[in-house]
Amino acid sequence: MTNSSANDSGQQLLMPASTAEVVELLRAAVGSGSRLSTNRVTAAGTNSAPDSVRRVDLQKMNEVVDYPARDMTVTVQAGMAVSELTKILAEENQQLPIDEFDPLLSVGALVAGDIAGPRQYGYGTLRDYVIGIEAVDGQGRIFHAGGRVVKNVAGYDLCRLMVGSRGSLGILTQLTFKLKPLPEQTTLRSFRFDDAADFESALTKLNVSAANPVLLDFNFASSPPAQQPTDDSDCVQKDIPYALHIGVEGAPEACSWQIEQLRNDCAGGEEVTSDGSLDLSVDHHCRNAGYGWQDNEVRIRTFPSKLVAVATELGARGYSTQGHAGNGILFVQDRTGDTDVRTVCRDIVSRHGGTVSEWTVDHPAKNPDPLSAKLRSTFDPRSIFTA
Amino acid sequence: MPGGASGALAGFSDLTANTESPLFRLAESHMSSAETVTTNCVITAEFLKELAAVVGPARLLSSKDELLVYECDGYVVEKSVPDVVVFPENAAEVVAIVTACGKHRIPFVPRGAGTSLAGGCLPVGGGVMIAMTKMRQIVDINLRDRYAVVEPGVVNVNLTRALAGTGFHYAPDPSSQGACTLGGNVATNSGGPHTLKYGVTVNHVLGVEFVSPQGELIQIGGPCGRGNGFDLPGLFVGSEGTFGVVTKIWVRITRNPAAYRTMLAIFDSVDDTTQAISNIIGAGIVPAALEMMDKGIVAALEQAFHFGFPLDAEAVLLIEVDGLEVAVDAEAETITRLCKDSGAREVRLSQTEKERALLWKCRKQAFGAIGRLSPSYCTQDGVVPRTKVPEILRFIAEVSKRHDIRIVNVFHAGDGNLHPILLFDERNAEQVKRVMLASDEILGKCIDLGGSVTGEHGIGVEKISFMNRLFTDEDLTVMEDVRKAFNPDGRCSPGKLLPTAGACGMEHIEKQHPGRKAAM
Repeated sequence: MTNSSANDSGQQLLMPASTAEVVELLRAAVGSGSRLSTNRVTAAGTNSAPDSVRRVDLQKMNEVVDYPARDMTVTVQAGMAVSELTKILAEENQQLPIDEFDPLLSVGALVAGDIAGPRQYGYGTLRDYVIGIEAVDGQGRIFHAGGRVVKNVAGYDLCRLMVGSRGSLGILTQLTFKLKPLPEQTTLRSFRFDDAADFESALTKLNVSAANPVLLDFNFASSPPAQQPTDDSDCVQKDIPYALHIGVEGAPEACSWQIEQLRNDCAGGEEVTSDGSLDLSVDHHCRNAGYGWQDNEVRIRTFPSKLVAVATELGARGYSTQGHAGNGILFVQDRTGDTDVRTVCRDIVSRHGGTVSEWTVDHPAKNPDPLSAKLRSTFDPRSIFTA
Repeated sequence: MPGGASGALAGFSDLTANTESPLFRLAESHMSSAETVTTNCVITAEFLKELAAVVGPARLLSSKDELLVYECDGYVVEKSVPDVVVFPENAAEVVAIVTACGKHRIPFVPRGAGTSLAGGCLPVGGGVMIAMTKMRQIVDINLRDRYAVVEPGVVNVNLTRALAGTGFHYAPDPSSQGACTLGGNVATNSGGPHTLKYGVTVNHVLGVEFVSPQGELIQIGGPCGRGNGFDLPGLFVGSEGTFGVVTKIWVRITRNPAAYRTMLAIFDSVDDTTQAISNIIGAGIVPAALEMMDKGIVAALEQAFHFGFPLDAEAVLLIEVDGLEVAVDAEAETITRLCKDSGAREVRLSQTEKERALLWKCRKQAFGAIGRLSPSYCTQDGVVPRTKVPEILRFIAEVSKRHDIRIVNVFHAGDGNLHPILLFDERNAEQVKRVMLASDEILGKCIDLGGSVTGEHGIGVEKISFMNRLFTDEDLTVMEDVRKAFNPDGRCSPGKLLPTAGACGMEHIEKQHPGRKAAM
């Protein structure tokens, strides 16, 4: 029997302790016509699900199912906290190289939200690490895909379909990941550029750098323009600084060698140094770069070669940006108050190429493409899972 | 015809069924048809005229002699002659072909170079084969944004050749990369030796344009990767041609490593070799490649290439590390120590780029050298957890002895992806029977050890019988539902990948090939 309680906002919480109980919940929901919300990234009190929606919380399904460390794979229940998994893997000098920004986030939510942090530049994203899944779809069917070996092409790749599906296709109950060794050392360096051209030049050099960065983030702090620009030629504000954060890893001598390469690549900028008051470490940067996972942020994916142009145009309109320069990913926060930031982003991206995400961290697009819509109705024909 | 290479076997017709093994049941289905499957597709003059109007008579084959070339791919066990082969040159022609097939309810199957080892492009039940080899343009290469746009008929190695000198390459490098096409790689989610570090095809596909079975031209993902929606490129890759016909691919290109160190570790026992594999991975080292070749395959390679392989060794490991010049020596030294601790009698470091290239040539052409050992061979593609490599190799040796079938091994040891090669003469029916049983036992053992029956070749038609052992009925039903979302009436690549009920209008296959019913 599944336990239930109410969260702080009075929303009903269902806490199954096994996959069989998840199936029970689904069947009951099908029978009663009720709706469920699951594998969410945002905290219970902050999501926008209405009170009539019952939230499924898998915190009781938090066991390691199998961890053959020498195979460098791990299978866990989806309710395990990512921070707990990180701790367990570290004992074997291993990692799931997906940057965690919320210690309470569950593994299932991590996968459903396709969370990816700064080190995606060097390590890729969850689609590169999920090798097996167990889930329950909107008809109460338990399904599996992949397996527990690192190379496997048997059957359709439902693992990747589930990564980033925002809980709209099923409730993830178990996941198998392939793992990476922990690096011997990580090092972060930050550089400041006052000029867009110098910043662009550094990014171009870094694309073919002799170093091998695992992290290539930027932020661009804008101050609102005195007046809105009248045309594109007004969009460049040369006095606004760009900051570039670059992470490398490996043996100490490899890190030192790479830092020297980075200094050459970023010769047009000024290296940021710390008197000890700033934590300039990869670990600190990754844990604190949790941008992109707030519902009020807009995510843009453009070409890396267009990143500076997009950031500069947004800056000219008063928007600060930050993100993953090496991947062409920008996050935009609306600091101008009443402007429709999404509309501005769409306008800029339409000229430079790329996409403005219509998804939020917990919600799939309201108007999905026909194929995605068809898949949603395949897995969840009664719309049990809220969007 | 002896000398055939296959993901499974040839020459079933003289066998006596005495087992319930999946491969044997598959064999029985072949025995029941005994000969090449022909089709009951109704190919009307009107339909042919429509196709000819699309591609012109020069790019349409319909005579029996011409079609025979397309009766199978690298999996020679099952043969099925298509009714028509067409060679489109652009996406618009593919749309028109698929639309015509829809109008006349004719099944169709896309085909690249035909190098599948699992019957992935077998035209089950006949119909139209859409050969993509004339769509072979590299449309764009963008080094700054690290992607290339290619047509599906581009041969894998040609993309890397086009990138030579730029400092970038296309990472997935199947051993057949000199012949296989990128469209085929997308269909089967191909791997290769360097996928240990760099990942398989799906890790490098940013987007796909394809023609759906309904004749719509659809783009999923693109140069900036997946857009708004599910990871449809991730789902599409590895769908073995059952979701549509690929017409364009956006692939990620990868920076070349600054330095390589390539080693050949020589062992006097297979047990020591597999222990070294386990120790390297267990130490948390992920080389760029970690390949094992046993005595039998080394002998064949030495005859073919005169590399200087030690013929008295029981097995060798080909190990490559890459990365920063400042880091590779230390990694190579650690691996050398681990190999010696595991019993390697010698670890040779490749001294020149020429030597490294020859070593890789030997590895990638290992299958070609098998002809020196046996008139026919059968390659399997099982996968086991990496630490189970010693156990599965002992099992393979035991199976070899018990069935009196010589088996040589050349495989992706770092991934646990086995390629046991069973040597036989297909003119000897009794040998064929033993090879089938041995193959079945090996793949079954892979499943028992927590692995899979295919790491990179795909299920195709060859391994459909194993799907029920890998997945539950509910898993397969869900997968079938996913297929229907793309391919509702099953006319696109029928009879592949899933052992579940199939295509409307495919009843003729059941009549002519009763065993195939289970594969639909």
